Amino acid sequence: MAGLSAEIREELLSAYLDGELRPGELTVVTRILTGDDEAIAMFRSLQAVRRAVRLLPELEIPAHLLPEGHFGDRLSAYLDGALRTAEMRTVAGHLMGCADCRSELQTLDRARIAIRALPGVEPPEILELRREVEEARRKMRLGRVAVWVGGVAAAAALLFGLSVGGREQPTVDLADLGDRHVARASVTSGFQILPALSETGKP
Amino acid sequence: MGRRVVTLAGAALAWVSLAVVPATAATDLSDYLRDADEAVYSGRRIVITVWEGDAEYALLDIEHAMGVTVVDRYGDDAVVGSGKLKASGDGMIQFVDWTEDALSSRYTVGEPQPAGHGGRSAVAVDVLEGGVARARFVFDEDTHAPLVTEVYDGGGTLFRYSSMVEFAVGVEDMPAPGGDATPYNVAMPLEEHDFAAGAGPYRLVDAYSGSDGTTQGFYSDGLFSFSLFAIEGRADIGDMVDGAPLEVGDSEYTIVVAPTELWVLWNADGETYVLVGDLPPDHLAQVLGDLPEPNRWNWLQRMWHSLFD
Amino acid sequence: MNDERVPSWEDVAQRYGRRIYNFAYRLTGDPDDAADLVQDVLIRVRSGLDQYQPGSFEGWLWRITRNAFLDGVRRRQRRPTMPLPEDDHASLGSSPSPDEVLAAVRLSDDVQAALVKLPYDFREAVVLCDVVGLTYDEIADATEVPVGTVRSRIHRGRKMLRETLTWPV
Repeated sequence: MAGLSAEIREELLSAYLDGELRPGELTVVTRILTGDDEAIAMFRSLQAVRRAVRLLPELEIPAHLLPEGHFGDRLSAYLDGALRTAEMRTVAGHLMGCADCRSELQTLDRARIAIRALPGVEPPEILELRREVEEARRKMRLGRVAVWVGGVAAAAALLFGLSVGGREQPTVDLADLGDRHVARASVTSGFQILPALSETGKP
Repeated sequence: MGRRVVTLAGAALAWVSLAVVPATAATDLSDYLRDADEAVYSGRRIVITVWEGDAEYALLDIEHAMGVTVVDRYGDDAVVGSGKLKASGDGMIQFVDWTEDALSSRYTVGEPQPAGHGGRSAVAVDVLEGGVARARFVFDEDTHAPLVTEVYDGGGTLFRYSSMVEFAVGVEDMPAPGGDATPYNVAMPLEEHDFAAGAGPYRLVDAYSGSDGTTQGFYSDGLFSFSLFAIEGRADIGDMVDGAPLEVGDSEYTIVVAPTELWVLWNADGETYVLVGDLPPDHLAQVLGDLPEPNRWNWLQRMWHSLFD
Repeated sequence: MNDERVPSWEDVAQRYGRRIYNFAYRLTGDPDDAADLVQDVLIRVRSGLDQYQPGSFEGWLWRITRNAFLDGVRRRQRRPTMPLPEDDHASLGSSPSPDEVLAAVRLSDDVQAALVKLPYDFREAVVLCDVVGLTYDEIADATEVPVGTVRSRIHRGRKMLRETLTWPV
């Protein structure tokens, strides 16, 4: 593309950084950048500038600008436990009365699930997958373990060929242990009931 | 949770509550909690636990009526209450025998204060430990349903926050208690066991045995509780759970932080220990100090183990 | 956002409020101006929603935002364009090395100050691209110029930033 002016060729470098090249222009860019130190220096400077602007901190919108004191993006910080206690209370209380923010919370929740999910899974399978991931985490089974009989005498016995016997260990489901704790803790005895725990079912 | 070493101060802090627990306030809390259990409500609850700057949260759909809660967490159902738990697809776990427990004198309960939550009038009850805020309960004024629970660590920083984000009086759909013939897994009280009578500021309330050969020691201080499970045999914990290393003094454990409780796992001698409960981190450190210490196998044990692998 | 469903103005505030605020803030460097703009935009969105024809919602929204911004600027009788900085280093031969540029970009305040010095058209194009995150086509739609012009403005804006950041006035 010999006819291109220097300026237009230079523009291609910015467009390339933004992923906005049209078909056929990539060849031109490659040619511009091959062996031309000045062009390469320009390219890297543009890259640095672009990054500098992109890295400008994203500012929180002042809450009073949102309709009726909604919490907008502060919900993300809420889920991160990053708000001060007083703010946590305000947000939680607001959620009780605001269907819009609750639905926003739901969206955020799904997005976070999606981030933790395996790649290539589209919602609405996300919730199914989440359950599987949770299951996998919870059903941490203790497999067969060697029996440490303890004591030198036992070791000596082995060396002499006496059978000590490896007992078959039943597998223990950690989720089941959690359930047993919650069940016991749910017993009514005045102070035992903490809403945070007693109503969780599985951990 | 990443694999970070988290160190808790190993020194046991002696929390001595010098103030006399005002009988009325403590009774008030007990009354509120009893009412909370009897209340009828439904909604959505968020539980957030903050640990070392990381947070784990869960959104739970709740229906609660007269001592029974149905919890739906991302599609998994569980019915809990009065010593029983049934999770979807599993048999029911049941405790038929237990010892009553009382609030430790370490705690001071404040007078109920008027509060609000989500447009509903409410009552807030603070629980102090050694003069520092340890927990706060916010009950709905009408029904005494628990709207908010806050738990703080030893330094007064928020550790766990649980709050209704959607709330309605009444329930739509509660399953009939003990409807279908589901197998029962009854926890049998244990008379003889090796559980320590006390661990940190907690005392052993009951011990049980499970059908899988594990034993369970239930510890409580009247406000928080945990179960310690002892399983015969050593386990490769690192392979089993996605936890983080936890150092208490010279000992190293594995910890998993879930939104509603902590899990700590370790091997000691010939046993695998699993601790699960809602206790705050500074209590946990004290508790672990009084429980069997984790130990690594020496060369002879490793050789023995490899012979039987 | 689903183009077929017309959002409520509360939806708009929730989902776009932050970006509109950041757009205005980076254009002006002034939080009060930015706050004014957000409120202005929301009012216009609110009154314009019933006339909105389903199509590209975001394009419509950003056109409203730009118009609100320019109206606000006119109201404040401030010139939207800044004079070009003194071009001591105009010749392309002495372009700063990337290291020099990076070294100069230490504080976001510096970047913000450099942005505000750009001529309005360049500044707006860079902000819409790198702060708001629109594609060239979306920027063309919002600013009602051809894509080629967008491309040129972004590039020239960045080049000027490069100069300003390395040799701050």
